[in-house]
Amino acid sequence: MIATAVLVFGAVELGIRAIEDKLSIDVKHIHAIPSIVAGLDRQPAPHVVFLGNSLTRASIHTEAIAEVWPAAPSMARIHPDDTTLLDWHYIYQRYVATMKPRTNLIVVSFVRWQLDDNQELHVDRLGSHFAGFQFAREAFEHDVREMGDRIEFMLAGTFRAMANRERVQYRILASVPGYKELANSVNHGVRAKAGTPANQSGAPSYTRMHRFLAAARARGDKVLFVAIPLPHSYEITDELRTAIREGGANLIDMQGVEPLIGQDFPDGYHLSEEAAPRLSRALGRAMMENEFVQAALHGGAKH
Amino acid sequence: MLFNSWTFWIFFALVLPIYWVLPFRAQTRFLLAASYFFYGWWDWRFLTLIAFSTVMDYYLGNLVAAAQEGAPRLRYVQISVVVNLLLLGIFKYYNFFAHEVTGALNGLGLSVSLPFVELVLPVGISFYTFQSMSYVFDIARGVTKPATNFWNFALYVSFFPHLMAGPIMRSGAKGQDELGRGLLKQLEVPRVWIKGNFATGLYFILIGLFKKVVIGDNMASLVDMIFREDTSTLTGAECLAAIYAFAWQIYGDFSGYSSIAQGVAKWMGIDLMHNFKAPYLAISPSDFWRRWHISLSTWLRDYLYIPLGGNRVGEATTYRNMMITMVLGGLWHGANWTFLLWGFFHGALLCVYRLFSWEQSTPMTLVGRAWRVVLMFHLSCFGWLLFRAESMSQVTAFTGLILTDFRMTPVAMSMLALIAFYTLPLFLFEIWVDSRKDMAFLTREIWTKRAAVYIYFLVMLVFFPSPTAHEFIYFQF
Repeated sequence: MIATAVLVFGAVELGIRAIEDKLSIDVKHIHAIPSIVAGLDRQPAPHVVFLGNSLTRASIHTEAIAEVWPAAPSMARIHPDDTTLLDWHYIYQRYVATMKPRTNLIVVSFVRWQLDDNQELHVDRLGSHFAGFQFAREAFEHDVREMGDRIEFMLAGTFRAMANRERVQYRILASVPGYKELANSVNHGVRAKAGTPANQSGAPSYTRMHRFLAAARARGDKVLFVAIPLPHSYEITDELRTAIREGGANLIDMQGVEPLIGQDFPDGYHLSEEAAPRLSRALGRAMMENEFVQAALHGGAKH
Repeated sequence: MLFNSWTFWIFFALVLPIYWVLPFRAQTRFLLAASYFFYGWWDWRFLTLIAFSTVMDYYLGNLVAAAQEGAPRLRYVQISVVVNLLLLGIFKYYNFFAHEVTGALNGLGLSVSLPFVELVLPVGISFYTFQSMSYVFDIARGVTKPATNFWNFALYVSFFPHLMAGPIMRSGAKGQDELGRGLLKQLEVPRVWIKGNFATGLYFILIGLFKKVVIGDNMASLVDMIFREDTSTLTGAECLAAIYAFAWQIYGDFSGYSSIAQGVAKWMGIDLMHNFKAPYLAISPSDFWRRWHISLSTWLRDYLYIPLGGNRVGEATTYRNMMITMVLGGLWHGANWTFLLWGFFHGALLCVYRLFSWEQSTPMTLVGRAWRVVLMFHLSCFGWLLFRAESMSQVTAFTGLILTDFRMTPVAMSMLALIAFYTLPLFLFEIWVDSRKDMAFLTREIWTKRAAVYIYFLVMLVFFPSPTAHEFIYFQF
């Protein structure tokens, strides 16, 4: 009987491996990261990698940036959904840092508090997609400290069924009418209960960012942070500005640069297809005129 | 160290093989050490409390056994009751009563301010104090003898699988056969590995994890979402769906814990009693209490309701005894008016059913049984509203909305669909279990049926855990 259960679980695992890319476009994108990086590596230097989440996917269009930027660098975007700085740190180390040793510019786009240390850990995805066994030691030392989380990290790194269980759950439950809205409300409540930086007292810390910037510096890459606009503006704190500056990175705040109205955010969060190119062109111009970016791209290219 | 955490399973994976290679006496000491480690993992400071309760009731049990019947024996029983209830009172009820007494006296114009104390409630204190009190009561009643040695008794009190949230196990006195094998009696004889223990334990663990992780935790997310909302933004259907969800949350959570405890103990060759028997198939209040938290309801019956006179001293006294038993049963859950009201409501239900002789009208047809089940489920749901509500105003608001606002919103529809998705298979499974009158019948079914059920549990555990894990509700009692 136990053997039957093991066999069935094995079949489920194989089935998930077979249909993994069809589970969501996000999984497909995550699986495509090595080829995105390899593709960029084949392009002429300098290279710019835009790293972020669904906001980057919706807001930053490299074609629109290239329209306003003569002799634009080679660009690529990596944007797994619902990721924050820690995920980007491991994506950078595992995938982007494998590019040939040239100086690149890493553009990290973010909103609100996505750069601080209080962000929720997605242990399953860290174990399977982002850190993996390759960076398990670092993850266990700094991020995945609980024994239970470490076991889940290892299981997710081994079994695709474990790695993708949230997506399987979502695909099945999405057939329930109104589930998406309900899930958003539930998740909002869960996060509110867990405590987001907005309702936590004390100044946020940025040790994850320091690690990320140290890894980039060690490889000679430059990092530019880009604050993406939301329907309501948010503050970029002095602590964040200091952490970015001290880490040798730079910041462009895109809030208010391009006039955007409520209709430009159809779901209240992501930019519309019509508004995104406008913002991207504005970002292209801002990057083109930014001394840090120019030094990073052209200074690096000379090496 | 929660049953639904990897930490617990690593702990248990280390304990189990060592336990089985040790000789009998060493097994007891080792399990005792493991149980104290398990409890100390949560908060080591309260180990002294459980040790104190153990030492006191062990010696009081011996003194009761040695004392003559009558006043001398009663005096030792009273010491046990007073000290145990004092411990409970300090940790669990003091602030509630201090607040209420202060309010009442101030209302009378007397300016009084009783001090409030910041205390952490020791996990499981209500369970282990009731358990060790039952030991002293049974010796006083002459239906059992004292433990053969201190270590057996200490393990009886602190046996880790049921330490945090029951079941409240009896020692194994005469006349308690309906409650299964007494725990103390089992601990006093060498444990034997019986073929079938593994399969039965696995069954209890799997269904327990399923109930906790899939049913309890997923329902908790829905419940929290509605109960934290301002009631002016809710509709009756949303409130009703939240109460249904809570009914399944508390059942999944609590019966899941009891089931895992049974399975873990079974793997150590020890039987724990069934604490739940498909309670939402109950057809009346007394039937409900024969199926829900059986170890507490039988404890209250044996040590409170019957000593008060039970139903042998006239109708009016019977109603009084029912009300006292149920109100105190409500208070056992915590110091809050909502728990008291919950107990009062269940007491009133028992009285009303008795008054109209509805308990005796055994339904013969499927339809007759079905409508009684549906009615009893909704009555117990109203009880759960009292139990879960954060205030009486929330109870009033929810009840008002359910009775007056019949709008079916997309949120209510999705909630009801999700509740059905998660709980309907379990409900159907429980109908199957109930029809067999054997909680572990599945372990004796053909392998295809077992495999189908186990695979369902496993698949649900892998793919449908809640977005966030919740602590077991009954740890707070």
